[in-house]
Amino acid sequence: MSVAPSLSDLPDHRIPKRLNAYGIPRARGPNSMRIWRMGDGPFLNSPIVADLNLRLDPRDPLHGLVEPATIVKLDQYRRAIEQTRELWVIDEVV
Amino acid sequence: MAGRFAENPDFVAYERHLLRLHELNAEGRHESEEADHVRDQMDAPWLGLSHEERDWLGGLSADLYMLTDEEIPEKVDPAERGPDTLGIALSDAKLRGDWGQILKLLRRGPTFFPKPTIAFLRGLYYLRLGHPKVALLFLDYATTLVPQDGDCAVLALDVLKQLGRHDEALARAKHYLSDPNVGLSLSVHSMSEVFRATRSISEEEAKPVYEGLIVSLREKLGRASACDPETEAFAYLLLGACLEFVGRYDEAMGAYNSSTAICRLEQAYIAKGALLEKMREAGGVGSPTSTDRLARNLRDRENRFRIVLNAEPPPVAA
Repeated sequence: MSVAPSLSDLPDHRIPKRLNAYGIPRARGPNSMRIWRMGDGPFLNSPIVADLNLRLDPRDPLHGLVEPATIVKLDQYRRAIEQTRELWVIDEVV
Repeated sequence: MAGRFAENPDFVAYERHLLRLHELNAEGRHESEEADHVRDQMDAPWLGLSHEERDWLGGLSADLYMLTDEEIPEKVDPAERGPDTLGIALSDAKLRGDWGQILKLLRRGPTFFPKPTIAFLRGLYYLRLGHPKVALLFLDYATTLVPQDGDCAVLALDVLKQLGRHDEALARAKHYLSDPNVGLSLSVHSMSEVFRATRSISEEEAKPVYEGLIVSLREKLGRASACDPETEAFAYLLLGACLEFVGRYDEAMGAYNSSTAICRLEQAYIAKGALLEKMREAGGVGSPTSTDRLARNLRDRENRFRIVLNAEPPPVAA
Protein backbone atom coordinates (compact mmCIF):
# COMPACT_ATOMS: atom_id res chain seq x y z
CA MET A 1 0.00 0.00 0.00
CA SER A 2 1.46 3.35 -1.09
CA VAL A 3 1.56 6.24 1.38
CA ALA A 4 3.06 9.74 1.54
CA PRO A 5 4.34 11.83 4.47
CA SER A 6 1.70 14.54 4.00
CA LEU A 7 -1.24 15.55 1.86
CA SER A 8 0.86 17.93 -0.22
CA ASP A 9 3.33 15.16 -1.02
CA LEU A 10 0.67 13.01 -2.67
CA PRO A 11 0.63 12.79 -6.46
CA ASP A 12 -1.56 15.53 -7.98
CA HIS A 13 -3.89 12.94 -9.49
CA ARG A 14 -4.56 11.43 -6.04
CA ILE A 15 -5.55 14.68 -4.31
CA PRO A 16 -9.31 15.34 -4.59
CA LYS A 17 -10.12 18.15 -6.96
CA ARG A 18 -12.33 19.84 -4.33
CA LEU A 19 -9.13 20.77 -2.48
CA ASN A 20 -8.23 23.16 -5.32
CA ALA A 21 -10.11 25.82 -3.44
CA TYR A 22 -8.08 25.18 -0.28
CA GLY A 23 -4.62 25.87 -1.63
CA ILE A 24 -3.89 22.91 -3.91
CA PRO A 25 -4.81 24.27 -7.35
CA ARG A 26 -3.10 21.36 -9.12
CA ALA A 27 -5.31 18.62 -7.59
CA ARG A 28 -6.77 16.18 -10.16
CA GLY A 29 -8.16 13.37 -8.01
CA PRO A 30 -11.83 12.38 -7.85
CA ASN A 31 -13.92 14.21 -5.30
CA SER A 32 -15.18 10.89 -3.96
CA MET A 33 -11.66 10.20 -2.68
CA ARG A 34 -10.68 10.92 0.95
CA ILE A 35 -7.27 11.69 2.39
CA TRP A 36 -6.54 9.55 5.44
CA ARG A 37 -3.76 9.98 8.01
CA MET A 38 -2.27 7.42 10.37
CA GLY A 39 -0.13 8.55 13.30
CA ASP A 40 2.11 11.55 13.71
CA GLY A 41 5.52 9.94 13.77
CA PRO A 42 8.38 10.65 11.41
CA PHE A 43 8.22 9.20 7.93
CA LEU A 44 11.03 6.68 8.29
CA ASN A 45 11.73 2.99 7.67
CA SER A 46 10.14 1.45 10.74
CA PRO A 47 7.47 -0.97 12.00
CA ILE A 48 4.06 0.69 12.21
CA VAL A 49 2.16 -2.18 13.92
CA ALA A 50 3.19 -5.72 14.80
CA ASP A 51 2.69 -7.21 11.32
CA LEU A 52 3.36 -4.19 9.10
CA ASN A 53 6.39 -2.07 8.26
CA LEU A 54 6.79 1.24 6.54
CA ARG A 55 9.52 1.10 3.91
CA LEU A 56 10.58 4.19 2.04
CA ASP A 57 10.86 3.91 -1.72
CA PRO A 58 14.60 4.13 -2.48
CA ARG A 59 13.76 6.12 -5.64
CA ASP A 60 11.64 8.66 -3.79
CA PRO A 61 11.74 9.36 -0.01
CA LEU A 62 8.29 10.98 -0.28
CA HIS A 63 6.79 7.65 -1.31
CA GLY A 64 6.37 4.95 1.31
CA LEU A 65 5.19 1.35 1.14
CA VAL A 66 3.23 -0.28 3.92
CA GLU A 67 4.46 -3.87 3.68
CA PRO A 68 4.03 -7.09 5.68
CA ALA A 69 6.80 -7.57 8.25
CA THR A 70 7.37 -11.13 6.99
CA ILE A 71 6.37 -13.06 3.88
CA VAL A 72 2.65 -13.86 4.23
CA LYS A 73 -0.27 -14.79 2.02
CA LEU A 74 -2.21 -11.93 0.42
CA ASP A 75 -5.25 -12.55 2.68
CA GLN A 76 -3.14 -12.23 5.81
CA TYR A 77 -1.62 -8.99 4.54
CA ARG A 78 -5.09 -7.62 3.82
CA ARG A 79 -6.29 -8.59 7.29
CA ALA A 80 -3.27 -6.93 8.86
CA ILE A 81 -4.11 -3.70 7.05
CA GLU A 82 -7.80 -3.99 8.00
CA GLN A 83 -6.78 -4.26 11.65
CA THR A 84 -5.24 -0.80 11.48
CA ARG A 85 -8.58 0.67 10.50
CA GLU A 86 -9.19 2.39 13.83
CA LEU A 87 -5.86 4.17 13.55
CA TRP A 88 -6.73 6.05 10.36
CA VAL A 89 -8.50 9.43 10.42
CA ILE A 90 -9.64 11.68 7.61
CA ASP A 91 -7.27 14.63 7.45
CA GLU A 92 -7.72 17.04 4.59
CA VAL A 93 -6.33 20.12 6.28
CA VAL A 94 -4.03 21.84 3.79
CA MET B 1 5.37 17.62 -26.71
CA ALA B 2 7.27 17.53 -23.48
CA GLY B 3 9.68 20.35 -24.22
CA ARG B 4 12.79 20.47 -22.09
CA PHE B 5 11.68 17.39 -20.14
CA ALA B 6 11.17 15.30 -23.27
CA GLU B 7 14.06 12.99 -22.45
CA ASN B 8 12.24 11.51 -19.48
CA PRO B 9 9.64 9.01 -20.79
CA ASP B 10 7.85 9.19 -17.43
CA PHE B 11 7.36 12.92 -17.91
CA VAL B 12 6.05 12.38 -21.43
CA ALA B 13 3.64 9.68 -20.21
CA TYR B 14 2.44 11.70 -17.22
CA GLU B 15 1.86 14.81 -19.33
CA ARG B 16 -0.11 12.77 -21.86
CA HIS B 17 -2.32 11.29 -19.14
CA LEU B 18 -2.74 14.69 -17.51
CA LEU B 19 -3.99 16.16 -20.78
CA ARG B 20 -6.42 13.25 -21.13
CA LEU B 21 -7.63 13.82 -17.59
CA HIS B 22 -8.14 17.48 -18.47
CA GLU B 23 -10.20 16.46 -21.54
CA LEU B 24 -12.35 14.17 -19.40
CA ASN B 25 -12.84 16.97 -16.87
CA ALA B 26 -13.86 19.34 -19.68
CA GLU B 27 -16.41 16.76 -20.80
CA GLY B 28 -17.81 16.55 -17.26
CA ARG B 29 -16.34 13.07 -16.77
CA HIS B 30 -13.88 13.84 -13.99
CA GLU B 31 -15.41 11.17 -11.74
CA SER B 32 -15.85 8.54 -14.46
CA GLU B 33 -14.36 5.05 -14.58
CA GLU B 34 -12.24 6.14 -17.51
CA ALA B 35 -10.80 9.00 -15.45
CA ASP B 36 -9.97 6.54 -12.65
CA HIS B 37 -8.29 4.29 -15.17
CA VAL B 38 -6.18 7.23 -16.42
CA ARG B 39 -5.20 8.04 -12.81
CA ASP B 40 -4.13 4.43 -12.26
CA GLN B 41 -1.86 4.79 -15.30
CA MET B 42 -0.33 7.93 -13.80
CA ASP B 43 0.95 6.26 -10.62
CA ALA B 44 4.01 4.58 -12.12
CA PRO B 45 5.26 7.55 -14.17
CA TRP B 46 4.82 9.83 -11.15
CA LEU B 47 7.50 7.87 -9.30
CA GLY B 48 9.94 8.49 -12.15
CA LEU B 49 9.58 12.28 -12.02
CA SER B 50 12.09 14.69 -10.50
CA HIS B 51 10.87 17.39 -8.10
CA GLU B 52 11.33 19.96 -10.86
CA GLU B 53 9.24 17.87 -13.25
CA ARG B 54 6.51 17.38 -10.61
CA ASP B 55 6.49 21.08 -9.95
CA TRP B 56 6.17 21.78 -13.67
CA LEU B 57 3.34 19.29 -14.18
CA GLY B 58 1.55 20.58 -11.07
CA GLY B 59 1.70 24.05 -12.60
CA LEU B 60 0.35 22.73 -15.87
CA SER B 61 -2.45 20.93 -14.06
CA ALA B 62 -3.41 24.19 -12.30
CA ASP B 63 -3.19 26.19 -15.54
CA LEU B 64 -5.43 23.75 -17.42
CA TYR B 65 -8.27 24.56 -15.00
CA MET B 66 -8.39 27.96 -16.69
CA LEU B 67 -9.81 26.25 -19.78
CA THR B 68 -12.77 24.91 -17.82
CA ASP B 69 -13.32 28.13 -15.83
CA GLU B 70 -12.21 26.45 -12.63
CA GLU B 71 -8.88 28.16 -12.07
CA ILE B 72 -8.17 29.29 -8.54
CA PRO B 73 -5.23 31.69 -8.23
CA GLU B 74 -2.51 31.01 -5.70
CA LYS B 75 -3.14 32.39 -2.25
CA VAL B 76 -1.08 35.57 -2.13
CA ASP B 77 -1.53 39.00 -0.63
CA PRO B 78 -3.85 40.97 -2.98
CA ALA B 79 -1.13 43.63 -3.23
CA GLU B 80 1.11 41.02 -4.86
CA ARG B 81 -1.30 40.72 -7.76
CA GLY B 82 -1.05 44.32 -8.88
CA PRO B 83 1.07 46.00 -11.54
CA ASP B 84 3.49 47.49 -9.00
CA THR B 85 4.60 44.09 -7.77
CA LEU B 86 3.48 41.30 -10.07
CA GLY B 87 3.69 43.52 -13.15
CA ILE B 88 7.31 44.37 -12.38
CA ALA B 89 8.16 40.74 -11.60
CA LEU B 90 6.65 39.69 -14.95
CA SER B 91 8.62 42.35 -16.81
CA ASP B 92 11.84 41.26 -15.10
CA ALA B 93 11.20 37.63 -16.01
CA LYS B 94 10.50 38.64 -19.61
CA LEU B 95 13.73 40.64 -19.79
CA ARG B 96 15.65 37.62 -18.50
CA GLY B 97 13.87 35.35 -21.00
CA ASP B 98 12.67 33.23 -18.08
CA TRP B 99 9.44 31.90 -19.62
CA GLY B 100 8.97 29.29 -16.89
CA GLN B 101 8.99 32.03 -14.25
CA ILE B 102 6.38 33.98 -16.24
CA LEU B 103 4.10 30.92 -16.18
CA LYS B 104 4.60 30.65 -12.42
CA LEU B 105 3.88 34.34 -11.84
CA LEU B 106 0.70 34.20 -13.91
CA ARG B 107 -0.66 31.65 -11.40
CA ARG B 108 -0.88 34.44 -8.83
CA GLY B 109 -3.76 35.88 -10.85
CA PRO B 110 -2.61 39.29 -12.13
CA THR B 111 -5.40 41.82 -11.68
CA PHE B 112 -4.19 43.97 -14.57
CA PHE B 113 -4.49 41.32 -17.31
CA PRO B 114 -7.86 40.24 -18.69
CA LYS B 115 -8.45 36.52 -19.05
CA PRO B 116 -7.78 36.37 -22.83
CA THR B 117 -4.39 38.00 -22.30
CA ILE B 118 -3.44 35.46 -19.64
CA ALA B 119 -4.53 32.64 -21.94
CA PHE B 120 -2.52 34.11 -24.82
CA LEU B 121 0.58 34.55 -22.65
CA ARG B 122 0.31 30.98 -21.42
CA GLY B 123 0.03 29.76 -24.99
CA LEU B 124 2.98 31.86 -26.07
CA TYR B 125 5.28 30.79 -23.25
CA TYR B 126 4.35 27.12 -23.25
CA LEU B 127 5.19 27.25 -26.94
CA ARG B 128 8.54 28.94 -26.32
CA LEU B 129 9.34 26.27 -23.75
CA GLY B 130 8.70 23.58 -26.34
CA HIS B 131 5.18 22.43 -25.44
CA PRO B 132 3.19 23.19 -28.62
CA LYS B 133 0.30 20.84 -27.87
CA VAL B 134 -0.30 22.53 -24.52
CA ALA B 135 0.23 25.95 -26.10
CA LEU B 136 -2.47 25.24 -28.65
CA LEU B 137 -5.06 24.61 -25.92
CA PHE B 138 -4.47 28.06 -24.43
CA LEU B 139 -4.30 29.83 -27.78
CA ASP B 140 -7.54 28.26 -28.92
CA TYR B 141 -9.15 29.24 -25.63
CA ALA B 142 -7.93 32.84 -26.04
CA THR B 143 -9.34 32.86 -29.59
CA THR B 144 -12.68 31.65 -28.24
CA LEU B 145 -12.75 34.48 -25.72
CA VAL B 146 -11.76 37.16 -28.26
CA PRO B 147 -12.48 35.85 -31.76
CA GLN B 148 -11.45 39.14 -33.35
CA ASP B 149 -7.90 38.89 -31.95
CA GLY B 150 -5.89 37.80 -34.98
CA ASP B 151 -2.62 37.29 -33.07
CA CYS B 152 -3.93 34.25 -31.18
CA ALA B 153 -5.35 32.67 -34.32
CA VAL B 154 -2.13 33.32 -36.27
CA LEU B 155 -0.03 31.76 -33.54
CA ALA B 156 -2.40 28.79 -33.28
CA LEU B 157 -2.09 28.25 -37.05
CA ASP B 158 1.68 28.27 -36.68
CA VAL B 159 1.52 25.77 -33.82
CA LEU B 160 -0.65 23.42 -35.88
CA LYS B 161 2.01 23.53 -38.59
CA GLN B 162 4.74 22.83 -36.04
CA LEU B 163 2.74 19.82 -34.90
CA GLY B 164 2.48 18.64 -38.52
CA ARG B 165 -1.33 19.00 -38.42
CA HIS B 166 -1.43 20.67 -41.83
CA ASP B 167 -4.92 19.46 -42.74
CA GLU B 168 -6.31 21.09 -39.63
CA ALA B 169 -4.31 24.26 -40.31
CA LEU B 170 -5.65 24.36 -43.86
CA ALA B 171 -9.25 23.89 -42.71
CA ARG B 172 -8.85 26.77 -40.25
CA ALA B 173 -7.14 28.92 -42.89
CA LYS B 174 -10.06 28.42 -45.29
CA HIS B 175 -12.48 29.28 -42.51
CA TYR B 176 -10.64 32.52 -41.71
CA LEU B 177 -10.51 33.46 -45.39
CA SER B 178 -14.27 33.13 -45.64
CA ASP B 179 -14.61 35.89 -43.03
CA PRO B 180 -14.33 39.35 -44.63
CA ASN B 181 -13.55 40.97 -41.28
CA VAL B 182 -10.35 39.09 -40.66
CA GLY B 183 -7.27 41.33 -40.47
CA LEU B 184 -4.32 41.34 -42.85
CA SER B 185 -1.94 39.35 -40.67
CA LEU B 186 -4.33 36.42 -40.15
CA SER B 187 -5.44 36.61 -43.80
CA VAL B 188 -1.87 36.48 -45.05
CA HIS B 189 -0.92 33.59 -42.78
CA SER B 190 -4.06 31.78 -43.88
CA MET B 191 -3.31 32.42 -47.55
CA SER B 192 0.21 31.17 -47.01
CA GLU B 193 -1.28 27.92 -45.69
CA VAL B 194 -3.55 27.64 -48.75
CA PHE B 195 -0.50 28.35 -50.94
CA ARG B 196 1.50 25.66 -49.10
CA ALA B 197 -1.25 23.13 -49.77
CA THR B 198 -0.88 23.61 -53.54
CA ARG B 199 2.58 22.06 -53.26
CA SER B 200 1.04 18.62 -53.31
CA ILE B 201 -1.28 19.13 -56.29
CA SER B 202 -0.57 19.60 -59.99
CA GLU B 203 0.07 23.01 -61.50
CA GLU B 204 -3.17 22.69 -63.43
CA GLU B 205 -5.18 21.97 -60.28
CA ALA B 206 -3.37 24.73 -58.43
CA LYS B 207 -4.01 27.42 -61.04
CA PRO B 208 -7.52 28.40 -59.84
CA VAL B 209 -6.23 28.45 -56.28
CA TYR B 210 -3.51 30.94 -57.26
CA GLU B 211 -6.06 33.03 -59.17
CA GLY B 212 -8.22 33.15 -56.04
CA LEU B 213 -5.25 34.07 -53.87
CA ILE B 214 -4.28 36.88 -56.25
CA VAL B 215 -7.74 38.42 -55.97
CA SER B 216 -7.80 38.06 -52.18
CA LEU B 217 -4.28 39.36 -51.66
CA ARG B 218 -4.88 42.40 -53.87
CA GLU B 219 -8.07 43.16 -52.05
CA LYS B 220 -6.45 42.81 -48.61
CA LEU B 221 -3.39 44.81 -49.60
CA GLY B 222 -5.59 47.52 -51.05
CA ARG B 223 -7.29 47.88 -47.68
CA ALA B 224 -4.19 47.46 -45.53
CA SER B 225 -3.61 50.49 -43.38
CA ALA B 226 -1.83 49.68 -40.16
CA CYS B 227 0.12 46.47 -40.29
CA ASP B 228 3.69 45.47 -39.71
CA PRO B 229 6.04 45.87 -42.70
CA GLU B 230 7.21 42.23 -42.58
CA THR B 231 3.66 40.97 -43.05
CA GLU B 232 2.95 43.42 -45.85
CA ALA B 233 6.25 42.60 -47.60
CA PHE B 234 5.49 38.89 -47.27
CA ALA B 235 2.00 39.45 -48.69
CA TYR B 236 3.55 41.04 -51.80
CA LEU B 237 6.04 38.19 -52.08
CA LEU B 238 3.18 35.68 -51.89
CA LEU B 239 1.25 37.68 -54.47
CA GLY B 240 4.31 37.70 -56.74
CA ALA B 241 4.70 33.93 -56.47
CA CYS B 242 1.02 33.35 -57.32
CA LEU B 243 1.25 35.68 -60.31
CA GLU B 244 4.41 33.95 -61.47
CA PHE B 245 2.78 30.54 -61.22
CA VAL B 246 -0.02 31.64 -63.54
CA GLY B 247 2.48 33.16 -65.99
CA ARG B 248 1.84 36.86 -65.30
CA TYR B 249 5.52 37.68 -65.02
CA ASP B 250 5.36 41.46 -65.34
CA GLU B 251 2.81 41.73 -62.57
CA ALA B 252 4.83 39.25 -60.50
CA MET B 253 7.90 41.45 -60.87
CA GLY B 254 5.83 44.42 -59.76
CA ALA B 255 4.72 42.56 -56.66
CA TYR B 256 8.29 41.54 -55.82
CA ASN B 257 9.38 45.16 -56.27
CA SER B 258 6.64 46.28 -53.89
CA SER B 259 7.86 43.71 -51.38
CA THR B 260 11.47 44.86 -51.49
CA ALA B 261 10.37 48.50 -51.33
CA ILE B 262 8.63 47.89 -48.01
CA CYS B 263 11.43 46.09 -46.22
CA ARG B 264 14.61 44.20 -46.99
CA LEU B 265 13.01 40.78 -47.31
CA GLU B 266 15.85 38.62 -48.56
CA GLN B 267 13.56 36.01 -50.10
CA ALA B 268 11.87 38.67 -52.22
CA TYR B 269 15.23 39.62 -53.72
CA ILE B 270 15.92 35.94 -54.46
CA ALA B 271 12.50 35.53 -56.08
CA LYS B 272 13.07 38.66 -58.14
CA GLY B 273 16.47 37.44 -59.36
CA ALA B 274 15.09 34.04 -60.29
CA LEU B 275 12.19 35.60 -62.18
CA LEU B 276 14.49 37.96 -64.08
CA GLU B 277 16.57 35.00 -65.19
CA LYS B 278 13.48 33.09 -66.25
CA MET B 279 12.17 36.05 -68.22
CA ARG B 280 15.52 36.48 -69.96
CA GLU B 281 15.61 32.80 -70.90
CA ALA B 282 12.02 32.93 -72.12
CA GLY B 283 13.19 35.59 -74.57
CA GLY B 284 10.77 38.24 -73.61
CA VAL B 285 8.64 39.75 -70.95
CA GLY B 286 5.35 38.16 -70.07
CA SER B 287 5.74 34.93 -72.04
CA PRO B 288 3.95 31.98 -70.55
CA THR B 289 6.11 28.95 -69.83
CA SER B 290 6.38 26.52 -72.72
CA THR B 291 5.81 22.81 -72.24
CA ASP B 292 9.30 21.78 -73.35
CA ARG B 293 10.62 23.37 -70.18
CA LEU B 294 8.47 21.21 -67.95
CA ALA B 295 11.30 19.60 -66.01
CA ARG B 296 12.92 22.95 -65.39
CA ASN B 297 9.57 24.36 -64.33
CA LEU B 298 9.06 21.67 -61.76
CA ARG B 299 12.39 22.58 -60.17
CA ASP B 300 11.46 26.26 -60.37
CA ARG B 301 8.15 25.53 -58.76
CA GLU B 302 9.71 23.75 -55.80
CA ASN B 303 12.23 26.56 -55.41
CA ARG B 304 9.44 29.09 -55.40
CA PHE B 305 7.67 27.23 -52.60
CA ARG B 306 10.89 27.16 -50.61
CA ILE B 307 11.51 30.86 -51.18
CA VAL B 308 8.02 31.94 -50.23
CA LEU B 309 7.39 29.64 -47.29
CA ASN B 310 10.78 30.40 -45.74
CA ALA B 311 9.91 34.06 -45.75
CA GLU B 312 6.72 33.75 -43.72
CA PRO B 313 6.83 36.36 -40.96
CA PRO B 314 6.81 35.22 -37.33
CA PRO B 315 3.29 34.83 -35.93
CA VAL B 316 3.93 37.32 -33.13
CA ALA B 317 6.64 39.85 -32.43
CA ALA B 318 9.43 38.51 -30.19
